[in-house]
Amino acid sequence: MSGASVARAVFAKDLLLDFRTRDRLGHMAVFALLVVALLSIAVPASADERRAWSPALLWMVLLFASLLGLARSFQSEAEGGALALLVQAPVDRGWVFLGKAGANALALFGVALWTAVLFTVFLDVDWSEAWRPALAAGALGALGLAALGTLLAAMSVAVRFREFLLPVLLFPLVLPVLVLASSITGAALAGRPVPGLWWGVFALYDWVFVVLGYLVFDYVLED
Amino acid sequence: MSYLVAAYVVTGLVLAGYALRLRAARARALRDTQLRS
Amino acid sequence: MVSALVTTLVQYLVSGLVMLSAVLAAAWLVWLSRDLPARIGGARGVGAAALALLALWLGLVVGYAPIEQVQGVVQKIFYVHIPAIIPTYLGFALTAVGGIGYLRTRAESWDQLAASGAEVGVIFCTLMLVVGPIWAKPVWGHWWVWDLRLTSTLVLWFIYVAYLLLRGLAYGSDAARTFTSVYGIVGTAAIPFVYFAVDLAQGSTMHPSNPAREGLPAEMGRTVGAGMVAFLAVFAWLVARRMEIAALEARSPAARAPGALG
Repeated sequence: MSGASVARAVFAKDLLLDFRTRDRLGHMAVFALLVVALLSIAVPASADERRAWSPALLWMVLLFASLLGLARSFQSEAEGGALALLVQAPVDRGWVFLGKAGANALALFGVALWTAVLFTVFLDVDWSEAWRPALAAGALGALGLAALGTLLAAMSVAVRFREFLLPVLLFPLVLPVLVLASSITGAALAGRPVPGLWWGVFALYDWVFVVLGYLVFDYVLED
Repeated sequence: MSYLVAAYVVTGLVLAGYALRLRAARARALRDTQLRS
Repeated sequence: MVSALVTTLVQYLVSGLVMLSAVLAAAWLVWLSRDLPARIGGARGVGAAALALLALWLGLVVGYAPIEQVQGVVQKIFYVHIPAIIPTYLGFALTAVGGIGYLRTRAESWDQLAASGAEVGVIFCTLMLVVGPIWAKPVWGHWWVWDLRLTSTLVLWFIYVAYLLLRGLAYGSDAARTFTSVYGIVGTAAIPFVYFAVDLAQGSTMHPSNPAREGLPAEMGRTVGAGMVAFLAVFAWLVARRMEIAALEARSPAARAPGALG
């Protein structure tokens, strides 16, 4: 049984779980809907102000929604059994991380798309000119968020006060995702070109934390 | 000028305070290990 | 022309000296952690040296460093704010190194190195966050400014606190030490990206641009250099003492949370 097949198996299982039960995705989507609705009611901003704040707000919403999904990533009962089986596989457990993080990344990307739609409906954000860079930023952001989020969620599951701990651990480390993604999205919406440096750093960030997650997951799973 | 003094005083207090806490903890730890032996 | 050359050489010497001290301090601490009870004697010497260096530094600040034209006497806070930077970052470095060491060898001493580095590092980080506003208020009129250095230091502080919180909440088990090692590694790895992100988000900065690049007057350079070395010695001494306590507590029968001083 190769590492890659383990990763694929975990990835497929998680995605299947997501689509069958619609729990995680549904909860994250409803949460995003609620928050965006509240924001658009409560925030008295002009169209220009909304355009300026939307990128950062969108990613903040995503950050909060991700907490719901990430915590769930290791919590279901089926999880315990399935994970225990996988852990026994004679293969580098970093592959399990890749599978899980991949599934989380896809889920987060889906929620990001949904949130972008919400922003169009509620806050009049026009993506027609900006959708390509925004989509790429969404993908990079989802991946970075998923990499760190999956790693930290795996750890916090075994600790007290995990609902409090996960955001405290996660948020400072994913600040770069927040800033990079909203800067790229903001520039795209304003019609400005996005510096190559931003893409480079974003990609580097994702690569670093995917690799780190892969390397250390072995140790994390020993709990 | 008072800001200047405040900055240095705060620094001194924080560092000295921590050093004193360490000293107390060390004494306690030494006592505990001696109790054992 | 000769004096310009000498000034440049002195500047390089000072920064070289500071860099060397930082590396030496880190190496000494790692070496110390390998065989703590036996090697702790050296810490006394470092403590004495730290006191002497602090005295030298204070003397320089009061008597030798010039009064800056624009900001006046208040500018001298510079000599306590800047020297706190290296210990802040060194704390993270030790946490990461200790984390890697623990994951690979499972020897508790690496974990003690990491914990001590974090605890002392957060002290210096907090110091920066307190002294920074004390400096900002008379100079810019606001207690807090969202400039590059202060903001990134704030995020660093959040990472430190998160690490210490994790350590406190997860104490006791071997898994706890694994988790904190992992967080120490990813937390430290995030730092350059955090710095980039804050820089990106700020656009322009209110902070005085790095004087070293503008050409710091020699007296200022030497004074801040002395401060850096002095703070490094204090940092090293504090970490050594903290590690000794951790090692002692590890042997005592009393159940104590690692990372808590009680």
